[in-house]
Amino acid sequence: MRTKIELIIIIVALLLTMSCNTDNDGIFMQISKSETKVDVGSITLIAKVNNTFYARTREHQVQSYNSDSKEWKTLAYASFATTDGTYLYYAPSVKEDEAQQIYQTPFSDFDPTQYSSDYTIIRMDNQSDLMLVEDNENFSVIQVSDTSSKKLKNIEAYDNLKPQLLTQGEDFLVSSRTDEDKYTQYFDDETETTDINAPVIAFMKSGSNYVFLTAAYDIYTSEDGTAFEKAEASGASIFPSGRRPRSMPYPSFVHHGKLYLQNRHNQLVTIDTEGKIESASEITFPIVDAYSYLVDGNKVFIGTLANGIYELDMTTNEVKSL
Amino acid sequence: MKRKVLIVLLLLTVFTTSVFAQLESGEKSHQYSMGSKMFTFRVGPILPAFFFRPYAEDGEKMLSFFNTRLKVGGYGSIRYQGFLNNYLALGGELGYIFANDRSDLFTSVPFQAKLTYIPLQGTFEIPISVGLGFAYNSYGQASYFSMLATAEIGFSWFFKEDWGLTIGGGLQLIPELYVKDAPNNNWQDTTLAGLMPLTISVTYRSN
Repeated sequence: MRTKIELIIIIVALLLTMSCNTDNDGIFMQISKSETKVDVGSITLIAKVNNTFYARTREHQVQSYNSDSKEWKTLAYASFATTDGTYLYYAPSVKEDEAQQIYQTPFSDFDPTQYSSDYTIIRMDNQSDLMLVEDNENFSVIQVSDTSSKKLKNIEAYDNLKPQLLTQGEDFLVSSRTDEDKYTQYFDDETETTDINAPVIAFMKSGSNYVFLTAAYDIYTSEDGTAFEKAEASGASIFPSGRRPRSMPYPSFVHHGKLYLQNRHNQLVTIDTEGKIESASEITFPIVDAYSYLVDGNKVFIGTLANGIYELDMTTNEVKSL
Repeated sequence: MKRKVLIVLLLLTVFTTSVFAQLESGEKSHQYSMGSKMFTFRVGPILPAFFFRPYAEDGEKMLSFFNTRLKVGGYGSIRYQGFLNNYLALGGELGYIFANDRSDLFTSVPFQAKLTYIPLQGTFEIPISVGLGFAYNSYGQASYFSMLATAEIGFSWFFKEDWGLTIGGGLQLIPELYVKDAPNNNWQDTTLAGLMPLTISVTYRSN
């Protein structure tokens, strides 16, 4: 009898400890895959020229990283930065309501010159040569290397809330809250929709097909960019809960018609044009938080939150730290 | 260097001679009896011994020492025990473990029931302990409430009647268990972690 009671106590204790922890990622598994932190913090990749990466880092700096010498070098202080492929553009932070000064420099010889001013920059996409600016109480998307070129204008926003600029290759959209309970998605072809009534945090355009991931991790698809359908699949149990701010763009990249994102266990998942989520289990991703991606053919470079830069070869599925 | 080795050898000789003298003298008058108490404060480094991961791929099931990516950390605890008879003491121990891996801090608060058997008693003692309890483990944003099993052995020298010093070592087992049908699909993360504390203790005993 006593043995039975002892056995029951042990089983109850075991079940208790297991049931208390069902939502966890394995602590010891995470430890066994931990990677060395890099003290530049989060890395927003801008460009790669030969073996040198250019990135905006947590310390509001534009820095370069040489993957041969493994050295980081601070180039400038900047809240915003982007590139047109030839030049690096960046804007230091200013006080509220002050216009931002943009500087331009070639990558080969870091020699910044004053390029343009008089913009209140809200966002500057790190790779696509685009910035979202405040423009007569509305917002516009402007090409940084050719500021006379307004790519999108008359973007509305409700109650001083700032819209989000999202890009994917050459495509972009602006997701904006335009009323108390209304979100409008502005597309780069100057069309817009209110059918997706939530902040969009990632998207893909593949041919004429669109895929959108919202802040609630709902997935919307469209075959032509006019009619939008909510997919059956939801990413609520796949992607991390409690992201703040929830409308912040989710780091993602597109390869072979699939949108790649990191799930809550740091592994990559894909969303196809039908809105189906699948694990990219063929890629063994390290336990690091991806913060930005830079796609260069079949190579994807990953700027992380705290662990430097990684290279993912999409042909061999190998990942290595640079 | 030779001098240091000589001093260590001398001390060892004194200790072993004293222990054997204690054994040969046949001290049958027990140091402890039912109701005797012992209070111990312990500190020391803790080493990663192994991570056993039954569902990991072949070749990655067993990670030992620094392949676990956990560095040498620290361990501290307080223990209070009362004697059940002349040799066996039962009590509880509350501790704190910390160790860094390559990027973050792992901490654990183990609390356990501890049974100690002391076959050799007196000025020199050899306490052998086993423990069973729980541990609250934290790492980064994650936490895990686990079971805990421990086994330890030490060598004590009571420099006063009531006060003693102990050097000891052992193994702490922390199972992190996940079931296959869990909503998080994290059963492959199931791991049995083994940690080795090497401690120096100060003990107060009273009859």
